Amino acid sequence: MSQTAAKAIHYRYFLNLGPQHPSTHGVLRLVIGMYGEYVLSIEPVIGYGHRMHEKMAESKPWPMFLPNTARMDYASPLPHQHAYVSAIEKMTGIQAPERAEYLRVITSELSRISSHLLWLGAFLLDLGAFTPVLYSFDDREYILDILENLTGSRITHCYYRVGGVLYDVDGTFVGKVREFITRLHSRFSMYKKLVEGNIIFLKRVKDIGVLPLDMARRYGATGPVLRGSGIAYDIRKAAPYSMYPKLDFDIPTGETGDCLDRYVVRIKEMEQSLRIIEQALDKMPAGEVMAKVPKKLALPPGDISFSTEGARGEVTYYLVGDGSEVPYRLKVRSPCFSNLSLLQELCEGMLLADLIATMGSLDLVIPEIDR
Amino acid sequence: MEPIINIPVEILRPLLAAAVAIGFVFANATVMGYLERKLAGHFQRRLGPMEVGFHGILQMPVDGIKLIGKQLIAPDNVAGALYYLAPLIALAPVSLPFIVIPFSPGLQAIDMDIGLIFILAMISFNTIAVFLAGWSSNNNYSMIGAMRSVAQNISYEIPILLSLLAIALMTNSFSMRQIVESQRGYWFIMLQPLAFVIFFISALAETNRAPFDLPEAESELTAGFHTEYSGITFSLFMIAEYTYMFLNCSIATAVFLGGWKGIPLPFGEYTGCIWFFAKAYFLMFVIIWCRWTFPRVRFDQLMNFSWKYMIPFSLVNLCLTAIGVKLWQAIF
Amino acid sequence: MTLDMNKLISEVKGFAASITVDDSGSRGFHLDLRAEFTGLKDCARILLEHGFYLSFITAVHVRPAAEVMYKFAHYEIPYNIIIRVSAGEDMRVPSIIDIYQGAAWHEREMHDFFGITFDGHRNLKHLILSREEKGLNPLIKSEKSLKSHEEIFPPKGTA
Repeated sequence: MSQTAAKAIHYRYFLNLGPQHPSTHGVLRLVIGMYGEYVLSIEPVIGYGHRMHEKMAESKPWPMFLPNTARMDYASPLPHQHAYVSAIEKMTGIQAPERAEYLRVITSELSRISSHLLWLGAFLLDLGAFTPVLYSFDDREYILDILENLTGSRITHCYYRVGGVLYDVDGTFVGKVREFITRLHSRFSMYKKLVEGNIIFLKRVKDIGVLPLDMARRYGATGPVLRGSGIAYDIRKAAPYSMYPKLDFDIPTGETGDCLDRYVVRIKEMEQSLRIIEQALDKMPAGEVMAKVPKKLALPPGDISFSTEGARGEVTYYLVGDGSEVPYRLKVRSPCFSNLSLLQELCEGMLLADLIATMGSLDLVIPEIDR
Repeated sequence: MEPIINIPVEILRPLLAAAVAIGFVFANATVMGYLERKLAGHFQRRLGPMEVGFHGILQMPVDGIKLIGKQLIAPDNVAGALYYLAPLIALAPVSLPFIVIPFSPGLQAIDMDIGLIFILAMISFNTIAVFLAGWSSNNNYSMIGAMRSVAQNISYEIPILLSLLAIALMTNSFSMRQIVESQRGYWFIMLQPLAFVIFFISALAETNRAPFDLPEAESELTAGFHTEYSGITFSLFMIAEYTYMFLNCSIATAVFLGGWKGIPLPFGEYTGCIWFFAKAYFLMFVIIWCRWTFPRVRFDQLMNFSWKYMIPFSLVNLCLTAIGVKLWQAIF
Repeated sequence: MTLDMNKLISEVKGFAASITVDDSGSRGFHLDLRAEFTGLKDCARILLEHGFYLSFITAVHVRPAAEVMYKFAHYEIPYNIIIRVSAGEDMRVPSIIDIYQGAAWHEREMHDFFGITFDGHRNLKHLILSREEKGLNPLIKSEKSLKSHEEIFPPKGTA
């Protein structure tokens, strides 16, 4: 062992970025072995928010699991619900009407924008800028108001059903969404100016936490974390579902995979989501929003896996049926789980401030990891 | 008519000055605390304190009463006396520099020959207080905050001294009154803009204010060196921080912005202090503005900035000033 | 990276007990492999060489033995692969963390929920459940609700 390495082990102390901490987004504990300001090793300890959703899915009929799907990733809950109902629809051969699919796309994209706005404020708060979080939460309030008028809840929506969606929308909804699109377009320049021209911010995120593609592949990273490293992999384009084949949008990517690239990718994704919503509103046909579904729908034996693109990456529901209404096994693949596991290898030798910036740029929602 | 008690003026004057200074420290903390919260609110598109009193004016006195009534919770293994001594060391030297600050021609308690150096010496007690607080708390977070603070304060003392030295070269004196009086017709900021910028940035770093607030970096270290302090001990640190901010701003006002000079007011001997306070509080407003605008710098970037940029620039500024002063004396 | 499907299938044939190809992906998988205890790591190695990433590892408790599923997907080509391994009566499966480091957490989670031991995993301690809940194995089904393998996964005539 070299002399510096031996000295580092001798002077190593452990810092507990404990379960209660302002910048771990949720209840996450990091046991960091440190030498001065340098991070030698980290050990994430998770499970503080574990509610055993997968066991809950096995103990009640499948319709009663719908509220659970919204409570795992509370920042962008609708892609989870989309994966669950689409998995059951595919398994049982039910097809939702076109209007319902368009509504699913519109609300999922609104959920994605709301999640990215939340992430933007929280990331800058981690870096020490106290003000932008209030501005991004202001924009997010518009989305939450729209979704509350439609579904009844601000964040834990239970809106999708097998065969369609629960409520139809009227002209007020369309008007509010169009108004919101115009408003958010005008706010992007403010975000760019307030943040990206700031040299202190750039020095905190440029070339920090560079994620090589090979490491991403070995850990299964997906979502903006992967797209920042240059790979344009998005389930909406790679394995299109719902109405995404008919909509026209780009997949933004970064170049080097540092925190700045992940930041820019998420801002551009918000712009692309606005584009998707506009097209969906234009193309949405009139019609029903719910297909004919039998009162008791049994899941045929066999397994199925359905993937959607959540705000954080690939959300996959793996469902095993046994011929009854109660699922035999449900596995929820959460994107943050794989994204967090790569932090152990990524952060060796970083400074503590860089670890906080990198963890913020991974966009973690701990209840989704703990399920 | 015979006075009842014969107190010589030489004793009465300093006693009165001391009482005013201590009273001012607490009054300043109250006003600054309220300003900070109100301004933070308005910068963040919200209103700040509104409930207590008209637009929240009574918020700070009420908070002070609440904090005094709180239980002082100390962890088990703190280093005894040092833990309770640290806030006192932070606060005690803070009222001393008020006796040399020239608020107006008639409102300066004592005009020392080395007034400027005296103020700077008193301000540097901040370092030892923060370090004692962090060390004695027996907490890894506090220790990191203390280490960062010591390195940061030591590094940024030097640019402060060098930039003020340039002014001392020009005025040939360290006395605060003489520095203010030699700004006839113009302010030193016009002659020494670089020194002013360096001094202001270093003052931000000295008082541990954002973007240099690493010792108490909330999102990294929970609360840094004052994690383990509660109630009145915590508020003593806050009062000390606001007072150091005011002291640094008043040095900047006296040395660079002409002190009490401005449009002449009636009773000019005493009302000059209105200009002084206006300028000092404007600088405090800029400091608050900076805090709520910028993210935090990383620690090694902070040290780089001081040693590789601020110190060389202030040395260059010093050399140019020396050359300029000599040329001026040779020509005129 | 381009994917040569035929090369991949021919390489994997040596190590997998059975292969089912479903190009429509109607169940979410394009390639369905069943591997044995000995061939699992080689299958994983081949998939990493062809550029696949590990999506998840999960398990299902059926009679007679629990079945572990590995799902892989690819960043450039839309192709999903599932590998099924039977854990056997003693609930042991080889660990693939030397090949896919991301599997470390998935395997710990399966150890928490089912009690499956992964040979070669250097740090198989609790991840999501707590230390006090060791041995709880919540997703192990009771005798009453345990179904046989044929009931849950009907023979692939219907794939």
